[in-house]
Amino acid sequence: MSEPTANTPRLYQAELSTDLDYGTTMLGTEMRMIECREEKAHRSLFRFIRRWFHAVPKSPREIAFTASQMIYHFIGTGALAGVNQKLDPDIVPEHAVSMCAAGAILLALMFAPSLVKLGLLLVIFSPLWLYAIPQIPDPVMENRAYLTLPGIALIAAYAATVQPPLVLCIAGLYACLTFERNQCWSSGFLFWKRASQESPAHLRARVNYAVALSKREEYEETIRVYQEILETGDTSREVGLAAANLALQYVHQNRLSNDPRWIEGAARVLEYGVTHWPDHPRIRYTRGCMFMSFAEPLPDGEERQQILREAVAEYTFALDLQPYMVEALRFRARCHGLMGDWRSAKADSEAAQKLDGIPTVMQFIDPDKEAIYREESL
Amino acid sequence: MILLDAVLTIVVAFCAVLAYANVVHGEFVFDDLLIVQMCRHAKRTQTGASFRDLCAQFKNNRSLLHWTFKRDAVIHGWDPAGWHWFNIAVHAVNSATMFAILRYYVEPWAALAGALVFTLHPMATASVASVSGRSSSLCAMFYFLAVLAFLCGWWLLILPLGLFALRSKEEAVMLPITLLIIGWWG
Repeated sequence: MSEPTANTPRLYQAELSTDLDYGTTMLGTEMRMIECREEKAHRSLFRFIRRWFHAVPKSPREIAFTASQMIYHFIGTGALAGVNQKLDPDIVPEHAVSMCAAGAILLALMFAPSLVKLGLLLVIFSPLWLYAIPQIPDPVMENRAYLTLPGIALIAAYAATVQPPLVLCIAGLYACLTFERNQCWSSGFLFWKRASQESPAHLRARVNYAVALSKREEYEETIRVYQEILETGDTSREVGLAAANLALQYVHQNRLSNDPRWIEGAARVLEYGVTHWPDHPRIRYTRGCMFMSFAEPLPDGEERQQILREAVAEYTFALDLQPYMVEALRFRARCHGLMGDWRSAKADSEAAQKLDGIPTVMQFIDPDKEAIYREESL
Repeated sequence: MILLDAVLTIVVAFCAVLAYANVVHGEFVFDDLLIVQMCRHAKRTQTGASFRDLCAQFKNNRSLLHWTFKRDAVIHGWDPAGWHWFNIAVHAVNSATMFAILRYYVEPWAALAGALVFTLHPMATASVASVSGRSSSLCAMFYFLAVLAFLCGWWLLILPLGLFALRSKEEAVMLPITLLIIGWWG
């Protein structure tokens, strides 16, 4: 390098300087500037979070950040569970236990490796992750947890790098559980039986189990299940439905055995139902069925007509509450037929057929009116 | 290595089919009955407008999901087997995609183990064995494909796949956050 002259600018002199001390100082300054920038980057939140992802938290600040995340998620999911419980009556209090378990697991895994953290975050930020930890036994709620499984799979993949035989054993166990779990989806009876056994507080499951039993013509067991539901004293609409269905079972038993005690039982249950659920369409419909069962054995006369008018009023009330109730339309059509009002009978039967495609079998007292109806129907 | 990955992908998909083979001949259960009723009415009326009206009574933002139901009603009628086979096929695709995603992070055998945990987890039963649970598995199919596209750098596919996932179920609204987490971690 050439020696600096008097005409060389000072800066240029510095650049051209071969003075070791000066050069070192320049290099040192630049190095210190670079280090300052890196320190600032390290102190930034973004870098801090990246370091947390890729390392076990050691410093008090990292631990505090991790703990604050856990508390945030704990409170957030607690609020979510509380809101969900108000909005969706199917959610049961066991989910609060799940939430606490989830919080405990998250705290325990605070010091987990980064791939596990990523898996946990994918679980937490999938919708409704609450249902995945631990497994909710009730099959009704499970399909909402499908998107949490990738996070669990990622954690399992990491575990497989450490203990592959253990993860494969778990997968094998899951295969057996899945194969066995599939059985409950093969029929409505098995599904609701399992749901009602695993979540006895889930009244909807128990009502549907009773409906499945009645379809299998296990009427004694059906009546027992409905009575148990009513004895809970709950005032939810599921119990109203149970009251209506129980009364319907009594009416059906009356038809089979011709024992008036069944009808008296139905009347008591429906009186209880109307008191607690006056605007429940199924209760109104069942009252109509009860009046029809009173009227049908009677000879034609004013008493029969009066009871049939009450049945029509109840069916009309039910249809005002639930316009597409096919059974109410169909039975109202039969009531009109028994009363001789063939025009109204035709209108109702056509409305019912439009909904489900099944023609209504009509019975008339007056054969002339029946002939007119059949002619008009053709 | 590519051959090994291909073989393991097929193994995972085959395991999905084997695990759920016993649901093929099951009945329509729970919310399946509502779907069948909806499709029966649509088939009877034979007009697209009626089907749209019925969709509006349910979740009308799941149009892709309802299209698959209509497709099954036309092709398979009211035999539950065809409907269940579609669900099993969707889960098999999800399992294979899950393997591909895990393969991005870990070695083949570890990815296989993780994918098998996903495939065989009993929590997935409701989404596969139940026709109405198809909403979750179908949404997840496009969701996982979008994540895979993100990892592979196929940016143009992310938006359409995300929209398909959203039209299957509203849960796909979390996809951007998932991609953010995965990108942040990477």
